[in-house]
Amino acid sequence: MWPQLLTNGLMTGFLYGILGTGFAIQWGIGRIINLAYGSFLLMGAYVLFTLATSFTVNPLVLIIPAGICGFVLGWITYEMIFRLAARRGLLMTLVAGFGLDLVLVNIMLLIWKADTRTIVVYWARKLLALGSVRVGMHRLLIAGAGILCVVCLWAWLKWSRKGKTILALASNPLAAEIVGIDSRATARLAFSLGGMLAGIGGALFGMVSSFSPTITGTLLSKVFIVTILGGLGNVWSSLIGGIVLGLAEAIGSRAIGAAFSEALGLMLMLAVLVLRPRGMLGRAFWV
Amino acid sequence: MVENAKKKYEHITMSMTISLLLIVLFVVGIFVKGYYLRLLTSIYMFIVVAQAVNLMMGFMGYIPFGQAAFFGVGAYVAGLLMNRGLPLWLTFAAVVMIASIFCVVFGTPLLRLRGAYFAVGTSAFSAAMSAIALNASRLTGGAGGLSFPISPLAPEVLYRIFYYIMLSLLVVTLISITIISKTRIGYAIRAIKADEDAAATLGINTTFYKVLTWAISASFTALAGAFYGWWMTYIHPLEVFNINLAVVSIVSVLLGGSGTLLGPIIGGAVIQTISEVAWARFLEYHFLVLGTLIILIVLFVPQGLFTRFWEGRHGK
Repeated sequence: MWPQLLTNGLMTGFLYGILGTGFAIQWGIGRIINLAYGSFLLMGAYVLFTLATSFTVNPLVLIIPAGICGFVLGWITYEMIFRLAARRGLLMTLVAGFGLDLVLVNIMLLIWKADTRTIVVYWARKLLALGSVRVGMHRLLIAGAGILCVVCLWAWLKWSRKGKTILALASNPLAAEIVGIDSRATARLAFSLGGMLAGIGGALFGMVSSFSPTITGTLLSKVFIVTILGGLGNVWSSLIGGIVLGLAEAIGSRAIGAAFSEALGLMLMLAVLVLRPRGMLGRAFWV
Repeated sequence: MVENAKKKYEHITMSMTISLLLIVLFVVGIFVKGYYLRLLTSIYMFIVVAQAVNLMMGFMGYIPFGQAAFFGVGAYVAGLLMNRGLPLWLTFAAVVMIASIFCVVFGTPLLRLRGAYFAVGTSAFSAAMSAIALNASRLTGGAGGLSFPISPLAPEVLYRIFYYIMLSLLVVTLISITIISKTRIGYAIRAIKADEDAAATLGINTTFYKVLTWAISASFTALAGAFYGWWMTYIHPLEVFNINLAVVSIVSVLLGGSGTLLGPIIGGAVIQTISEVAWARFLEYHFLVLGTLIILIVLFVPQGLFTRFWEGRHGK
């Protein structure tokens, strides 16, 4: 019983971590708390849905166009809304993001209707058995693809020139400007990269779970919990936060019932926020 | 001296404007009917919440993203107690008390957070309350919602009564906030807004005043929620714990001008009217209209329309 439960929790946790990475980058480096992130994720899921229903390609390949759409969405919204809102303070980005979320949800409702959609991953309907534990093949593949994206991002941030400027801006904005980094362009790039990860994460989410335009709030709360639990320290913190949340939900659903597992995650986040505002890893926020 | 006299003059004109407006609204209540009666009632309710948000945000500098939690708590406490046949005054006293208890229990830790973290923390609190109300079906009825006892009065009479109840709540809120802003609490929270650490250094018990202010703000929000549930006779967790309420109140305070008494009245009335028109005329585009409005307000009128107008007129 327990090994299976924990494995399921771990798989969900990987997914949560992937969903949260883009949000943490937008917050930590772009200095914007993007309340429209739930819609960003869903946009990725819907792009994948549209492409997967019109072309017969392996959906795992289609996460690339979903990522590109997310990047473009991030770029446009950063230039048009968030950059201007950020001038009035971090709090105003919250309010502006909420407004953007309403707009995007409405657009999704107009294009894709309110029906619940699913992307059927018939190509990987297989169960792998490891002793008594069974894991769906598609869940493993999806977690693997997501982690691969995060690793690529980490390597790119670490070793490429552009990536290094992003990290420099994150660690000290003033010093970065002094050494000649274009802070506006770099922050925009970081925000758009967050959008790209949202597109990819949303597409992966769409392959695991059914979705409709009204679940943006639920997605956003998961992403928030992951980010607060893990902290904004680095690319890995969201993954750790996600695994903690996934395991906590799995254990909680067994111990106190599935109905309260959502509230459990939020309470966990509140506790961490109040007791360890820097996240469980204990590293300083990039903010 | 001239500055003082000018401020006093401003204050008197503002109070006169508000009093006149309220008298007009009391008279208007006799004549309006049907849709407009309900629209005005909902606007009053909304302005009460906006004023409660204004107390936190305009006076103390803490933006309460989770204010909807108290609206929902108020509605649910009122519904559960009224269904058990408690007298009205006791029900509403309990609403205020329970909202205050929530503030003391959750506010004490949450108010340690500052700026955006407070906003994030309170919205998580609100979402947690919503999830609990949705799932604790034995107590709250869960996703089935909660019905209130239905009054035997005729609907026309009943809706007119609710018009006056909401208007009275609005008047009480306005008077309370005016009084609060002139007492020790008002000075303490303005000091906290200006510089919290400095206020603490000067010997102001910041935690006490912050929790007290939040409790006052939450009580008015909870009462608005309680009256709303009583008026609608049916509530649903996703409706009364909706974060939209909190954000739209914040935006109307921004629109009208935070920290003023008239600002949230104007902002709340404008936004609620636009929202209603959007519901009625473009149902499919309602969120689009509201969202665009929110973005435009954040980007272009962060100081508040009213503040701008007022300061322009008096040449400050």
